[in-house]
Amino acid sequence: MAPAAAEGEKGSPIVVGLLVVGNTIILLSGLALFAETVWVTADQYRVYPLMGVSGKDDVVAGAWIAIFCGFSFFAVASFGVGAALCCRRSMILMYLVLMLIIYIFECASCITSYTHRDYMVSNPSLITKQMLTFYSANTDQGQELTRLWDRMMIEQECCGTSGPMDWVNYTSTFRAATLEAVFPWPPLCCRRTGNFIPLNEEGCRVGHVDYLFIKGCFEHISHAINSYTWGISWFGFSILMWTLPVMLIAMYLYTTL
Amino acid sequence: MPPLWAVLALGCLRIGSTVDLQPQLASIAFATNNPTLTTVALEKPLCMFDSTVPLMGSYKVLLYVMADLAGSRNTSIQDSNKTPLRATFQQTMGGRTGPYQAAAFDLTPCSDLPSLDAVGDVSQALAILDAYLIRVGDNRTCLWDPNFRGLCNPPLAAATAYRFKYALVNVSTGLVQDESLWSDPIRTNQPTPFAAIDTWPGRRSGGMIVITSILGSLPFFLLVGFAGAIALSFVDVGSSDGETTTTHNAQITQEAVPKPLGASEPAYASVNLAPPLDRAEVFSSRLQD
Repeated sequence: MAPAAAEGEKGSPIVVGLLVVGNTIILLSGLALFAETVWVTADQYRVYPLMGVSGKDDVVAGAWIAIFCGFSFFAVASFGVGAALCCRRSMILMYLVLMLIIYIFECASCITSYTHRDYMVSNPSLITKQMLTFYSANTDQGQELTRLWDRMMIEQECCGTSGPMDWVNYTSTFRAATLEAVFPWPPLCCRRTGNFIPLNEEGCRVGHVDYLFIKGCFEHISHAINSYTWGISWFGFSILMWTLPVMLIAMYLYTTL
Repeated sequence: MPPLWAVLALGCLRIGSTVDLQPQLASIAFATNNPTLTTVALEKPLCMFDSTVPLMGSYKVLLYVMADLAGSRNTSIQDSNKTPLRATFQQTMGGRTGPYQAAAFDLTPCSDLPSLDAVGDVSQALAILDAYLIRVGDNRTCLWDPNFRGLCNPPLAAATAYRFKYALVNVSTGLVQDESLWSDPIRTNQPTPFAAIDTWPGRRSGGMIVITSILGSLPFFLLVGFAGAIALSFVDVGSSDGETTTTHNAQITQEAVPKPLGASEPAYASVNLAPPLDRAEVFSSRLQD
C-alpha cells in the first residue's frame, strides 16, 4: 500500500512513460509537419498567383502558420519529455499552456487551408472567371496570371480551365483583344513540336484535335491545391488528434502531482 | 475515325433525282469550336451527288446560306430555267431576305476522296482540312475591300440561326443539275459574359466539414480540461492546507515505522510538515537517483 501511494504522488511510471512516448511522436511529426509545409510554401506546382489574384491566399497562410506550429510542436514536445521525466508541476503547467496555444493555432491553420481549398477548387467556376478576367489584361495581376497560364498550358499540354471552349463560350479580356475569327483561343493552346513551334496554326485555329490541346488545366490546378491542402490539413489534423490524448494525460499527471 | 466514315457512307445513299440529304456540321474532331460566333464549319458534299453514278464533265458546288426566319423553309435557289440565284450577301442583307451564294468550289469526285486519317501529317493537314471543311463566314475583309472580285463570304451574325444548301452546277451549261435539302437551322454561338459566372463554391466538401467541426470543438474541450485541472489542483492544495494536521499525523505514523522509502518521500506532505529541511532531503535523494 505504501509504495503505490508514494508513486501516485510523484506520477506513476506508466503515465510518465505514456507522456514520454506521446511527446516523442509529437516531436517527430512536428518536424515532419514543418518540412512538409515548407514544401507547400515553396509552391512547387507554381500555382500561387491563382490564389494571390483571387485576393485570398489562405492555403499558403495556413502553410505559414503550420511551419511555425510544426517547429513549436517540436520544441514544446521536447520540453514536454523533460517535464514528464522531471515531474515538476511548474514545468508541466508551462508545457500545457504552451501546447494549448500551439494547438489552437494549428487548428486555425487546418481549418483555414481546407476552407480555402473549397473556395478555390470545389468547382472550376472561380478559376474560369479569374482566367477570363485577367488573361492578357494589361495590369500587374493580368501579366502575372498570363505568364502563369502560358507556362501551364505549354507544360501541362492543356487549354483553358475545362477545355478550349472556355475561351469561346464566354466573353473575356482575351476575346476583347483578339477576335474569335483571328484566333478563338490563345495560341499557346496549339499543340507544339519539341521546340515549341506550333505544329499547324490553321489546324489549331479550326480546332482539329491533333493540333489543339483539348484537355482543360483545371485537373492540374485542383491536383496542386488539393495536395497542398492534404498536407496541411489532414496531416495537421492527425497530429492534433494525437496531441489531444497526450495533453489530457499531461493534465491528469498535473493533477496527481 | 469510324464516325466520320459513317457520316460519309450515309452521304452515299441517294434517292431520286434531287439528293435527299442535308449539309452537315463538320465533325467535332475536326472543328472543336463549331459553330463559332461568326462562322459555321460544314462538311463538304463528299459523295453526296455522285455516289451511284460518276459524273462526267466538270461540275462545281455552290453553297447557299439563308437566315432561318419564319416562312423561309423551302425557298428555291434556282429560277424556272434552272439558273442558280446570283444574290450576294449585301443584296440579301446577310441572308435575311433570301438565300445568298457564300462559296463555290470544285466537286471532289467520290472516287478520289482525301484520306482523313492522314490529317495528323502536318504537311498534308491544310489540304485535307480544305478538302473536308467549308467555313461559312471565313472572309473578314471582302466586304470592305473595293478591289475584291468573286464570291464574298463575310462573317455571319452572332446568335442567329442559319440554314445551308448545296447546289450542283454544271460548269459548261451553267444550270443547276442537282441540289441538297436545306439543312436544319444551325445557330451561331453567343458568348456568355464572364461576369455572369457564379463563383459560389456550392456544397462544402465532407473533409472540410469534418475538419472544421472537430477542430472547432476540440480546443474548447481542451480548455475546459485545462481549467478543470488547474481548479482541481487548487482544490487539492486548499484541502491539504486545511487537513494538514490530521493527514500528517496519519502519514507520519505510517511512515515513521518502516522508513524504507527515503527516495520516494511524498513531496507535498513533507513540504507541509517541515518545508526547508524536507525539501532539501527530497532534492538530495533525487540527485542520488
